[in-house]
Amino acid sequence: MTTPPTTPRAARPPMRRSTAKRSAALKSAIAWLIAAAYLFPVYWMINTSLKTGKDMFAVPPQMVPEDLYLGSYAAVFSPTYGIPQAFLNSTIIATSVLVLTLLIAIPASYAVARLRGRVTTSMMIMLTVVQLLPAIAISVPLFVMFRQAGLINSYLSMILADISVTLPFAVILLRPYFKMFPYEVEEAARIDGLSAIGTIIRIVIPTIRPGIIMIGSFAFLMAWGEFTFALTLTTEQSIQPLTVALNRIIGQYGTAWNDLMATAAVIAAPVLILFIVLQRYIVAGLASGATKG
Amino acid sequence: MRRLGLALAAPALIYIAVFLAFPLLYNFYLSVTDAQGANLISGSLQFIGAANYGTVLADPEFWHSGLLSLIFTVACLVLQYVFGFALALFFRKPFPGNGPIRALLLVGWILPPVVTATVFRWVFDTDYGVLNHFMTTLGLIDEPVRWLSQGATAMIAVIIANLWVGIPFNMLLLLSGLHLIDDSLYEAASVDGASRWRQFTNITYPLMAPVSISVLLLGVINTYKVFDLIYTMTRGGPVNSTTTLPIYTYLETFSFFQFGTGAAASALTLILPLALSYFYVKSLNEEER
Repeated sequence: MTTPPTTPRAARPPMRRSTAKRSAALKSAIAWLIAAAYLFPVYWMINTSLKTGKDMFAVPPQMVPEDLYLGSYAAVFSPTYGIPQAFLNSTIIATSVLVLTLLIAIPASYAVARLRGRVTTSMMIMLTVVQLLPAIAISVPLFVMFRQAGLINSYLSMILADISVTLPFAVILLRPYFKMFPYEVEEAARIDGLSAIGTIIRIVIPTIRPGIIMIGSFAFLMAWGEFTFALTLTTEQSIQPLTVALNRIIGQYGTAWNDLMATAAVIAAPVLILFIVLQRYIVAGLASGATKG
Repeated sequence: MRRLGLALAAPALIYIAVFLAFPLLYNFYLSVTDAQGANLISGSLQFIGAANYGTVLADPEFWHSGLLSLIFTVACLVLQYVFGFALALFFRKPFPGNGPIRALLLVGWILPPVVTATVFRWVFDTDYGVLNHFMTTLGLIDEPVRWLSQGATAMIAVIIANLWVGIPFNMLLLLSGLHLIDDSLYEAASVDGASRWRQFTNITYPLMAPVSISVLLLGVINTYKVFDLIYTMTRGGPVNSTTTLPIYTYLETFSFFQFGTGAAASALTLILPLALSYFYVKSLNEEER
């Protein structure tokens, strides 16, 4: 990228420092510009969600809404589009996925980190492979299975399907945390009379809290944004989460862009809030976990 | 100890067996039956051999979808790698605001794809879309581009939307690779008078090879399987011009409830990721050692 030509190597140190400073300031300015351009679609979503039905079609587009209009948010929170129900559905699904993922992934990660045998090794391989498969390919047989079990249009089918995405991610990300935990500490706790399970619950888990917060937030975010399973495993509007609801109202009210953007903003809001509050954990997890799978 | 390990892994193992391993095998079973909406519940499925595979392979739309998947995956892969790498180089050295800006760039990655797709649908709108407005203002186009209502530009639009998600992700992965390169190498090179470009071609790029390979491998897999973004933006249209393999599988299965052919399409869609996952698992095992 564009960095100003640095002064030749012969330059005196004080001068060098001031150019370095200037170049850092310039880089910083460029970086803010990149971020602003990059985030423009998000701005445009909020901008449009605050415009009247007339202003959103103004030519040229209003870069700042002339009349601040909150009617779209009122429409989103009214039963018109079925968003309040969908919001509730998404909350139920994402929270259940979060809890179940933690309950299954924490002991499993401990097992693959500490007590490696043939079974746990093949489990690890299976999880790694599954993570790479297209959701739609799994949703075809899942639909048939759930159909035969009478579980189409139920929270349970969506929750169970979502875990197929969150579980591999969680185990792969959490395993290194358990691995890094010093084994001597566990041994000492056991000599002090704690059982193996007691040691994990009382000593290990509190220490690796950052890892658990990270996979918890990932599980929630993934389930909140999940679309493929929710689309294929439901047919009734009353049970569908926000993502499917948004997709449906695009089809029905394709040109009500202010309402559509308000809906999109309502779906994005919890994600953005969670990201801001837990950014430290999430970015760390992305950076460390993604290279590993 | 062994038993404790199995006990702790038991819930995960049961889940994997019932909801991952079984469905994958069941999919292959369905693909050789005449399963459809009607006989699904009664369970009286007939074995029909490879007929479903024959149907799918004889469908020109399937091959067309394969081609579209190839175009979509290669375009996204190359562009997100190049732009991601450029940004990673830019963000390698600390400067004021580096951390917060990097976090802001991840917003695209963290947003639900359905939300991203909806916003981009609006940005790419023909008459009132802000992109056409900007391009007209800059004098790049004389009349509005009908982005999502004609084949070629619809594909470009979904590629751009997917890049918005993929670039920051690639940047993050490549940046963590760049941070592993020892600074003293660059110092030594600049003492020897090596230009920035020489430093990049002789130090950075070769040392980044392992990271690049895993980023590209993950990139192929993650791009190939994109469904929600494309489906929300175009539904696979106009006239099947963005029907990549996952979209094809969905439409085959759920518009006509032909689960047998759908399962065959899904099995064929799985070949590439399954083959690549072999290399991926192998590369992870090597890293482990």
